[in-house]
Amino acid sequence: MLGKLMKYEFKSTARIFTPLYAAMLIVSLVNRLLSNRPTDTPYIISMVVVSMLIGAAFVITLILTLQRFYKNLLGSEGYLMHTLPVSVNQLIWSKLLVATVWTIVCAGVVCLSIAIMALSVGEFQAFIQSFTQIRLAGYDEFAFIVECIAIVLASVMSGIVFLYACMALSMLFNKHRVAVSFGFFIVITTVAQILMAIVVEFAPNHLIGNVDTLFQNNEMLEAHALLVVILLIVAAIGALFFALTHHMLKNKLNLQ
Amino acid sequence: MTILNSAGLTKAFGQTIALNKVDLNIEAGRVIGLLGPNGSGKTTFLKLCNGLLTPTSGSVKIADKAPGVRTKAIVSFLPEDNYFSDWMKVKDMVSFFADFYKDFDAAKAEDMLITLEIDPAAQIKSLSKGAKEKVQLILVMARKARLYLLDEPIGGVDPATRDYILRTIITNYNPEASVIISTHLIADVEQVLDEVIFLKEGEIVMHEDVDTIREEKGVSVDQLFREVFKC
Repeated sequence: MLGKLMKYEFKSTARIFTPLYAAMLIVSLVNRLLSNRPTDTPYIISMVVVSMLIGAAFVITLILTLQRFYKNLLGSEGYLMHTLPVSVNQLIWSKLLVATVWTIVCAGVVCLSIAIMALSVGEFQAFIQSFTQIRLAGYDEFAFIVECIAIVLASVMSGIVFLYACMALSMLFNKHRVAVSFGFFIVITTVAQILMAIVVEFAPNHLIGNVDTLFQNNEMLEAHALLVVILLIVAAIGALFFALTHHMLKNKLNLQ
Repeated sequence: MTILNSAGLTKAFGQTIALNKVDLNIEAGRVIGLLGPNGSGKTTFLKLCNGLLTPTSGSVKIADKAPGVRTKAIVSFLPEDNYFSDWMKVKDMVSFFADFYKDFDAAKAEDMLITLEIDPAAQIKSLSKGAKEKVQLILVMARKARLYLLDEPIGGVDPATRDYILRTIITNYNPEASVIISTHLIADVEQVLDEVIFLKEGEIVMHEDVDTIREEKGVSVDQLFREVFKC
């Protein structure tokens, strides 16, 4: 059932993302072709269009992430989605996984688009070269790459599920749910930042902000441990918001 | 066999009590009219049965289970509002239902679309309000569910379609299944009902066999409704 839900989720998001990303890549290519004469008006126009598209890609990815969850699960379409014989877990995961994929694709397309416009042949070769270096790298380097990718992935997913939780919490109110969702977003981020400030203030110095020293002193084990701890914290925060979203949709659902 | 059972089912929205301590027992194989004026709690009751609302207190069970994945597989719900994604085509919705509901009969849905002259290739967005309601009803009735919960199924369509829909409801479903029809258009549905439930301000004021009403009280359901809910 999760597969089927994801299939429909991809279908309903792809019809917006595919043309957007295709447009970005095409305009980037046009921009590249025009770049021989960088003072001409067409080049300047295409530069403006690309910049706008890149901005739009991020904004639209965010808006669609919010809108797919709110409209499809908490709005009128929720009447259909919540009467399907699927579990709340499957509903949330289908939204979360698809939104994560699109966020990654969005970042990838933006990089590709910039590469199309700006990359020279030499730079491209150097880029390919760097992959061979990964292959030649030792265990530590490889593990660092894996850890960093995992942290980025966990952060993206935690971020998305945090937005879901803010919207799901609006089920506690009967009116002004969009405003309530936004309110929860503000309150939770503020509280989180205060907590963060307290941690930074009182935590022992060697625990934070000294990743560089760990690398410089070649204390690889500590560096790995630090990254894994960061990963676990991010994942735990994500799990917490997931559980909250699940609880709200399972036990507090109030569709109007 | 009991298909639906509610005990002390209550739902409040803030200070407003939409449904107040509803005790109800519905047997399999019955067609039941859930009747009451606007705001009497009909929609609230149906939403609670589908898990779209959470009870304030009390419980509702379908085939002995609280609303969840397993009840959703056997309940076919027609909400009052349109739940389509606008960009989808009618045939997309048919395959959506076929994908998720094991008891969905796509061939039957396609037949019904032809009868009601709805183009499967049409975008939902381009359909009239009445046509959207027809599509939604076709999808819901093309399932072989054990319990159909229909919220105002005939409210927005013309009288000819109304007759077709009612015929569909009584001829199409499996004899073991029960149908609950919420409406205030009593005269139109009276002919197909076995039982009626009168809801007033969130409480059940009567739950009776239609035959009993006709024989003992000597009135039609419509007349009785007008008496009970006299303004």
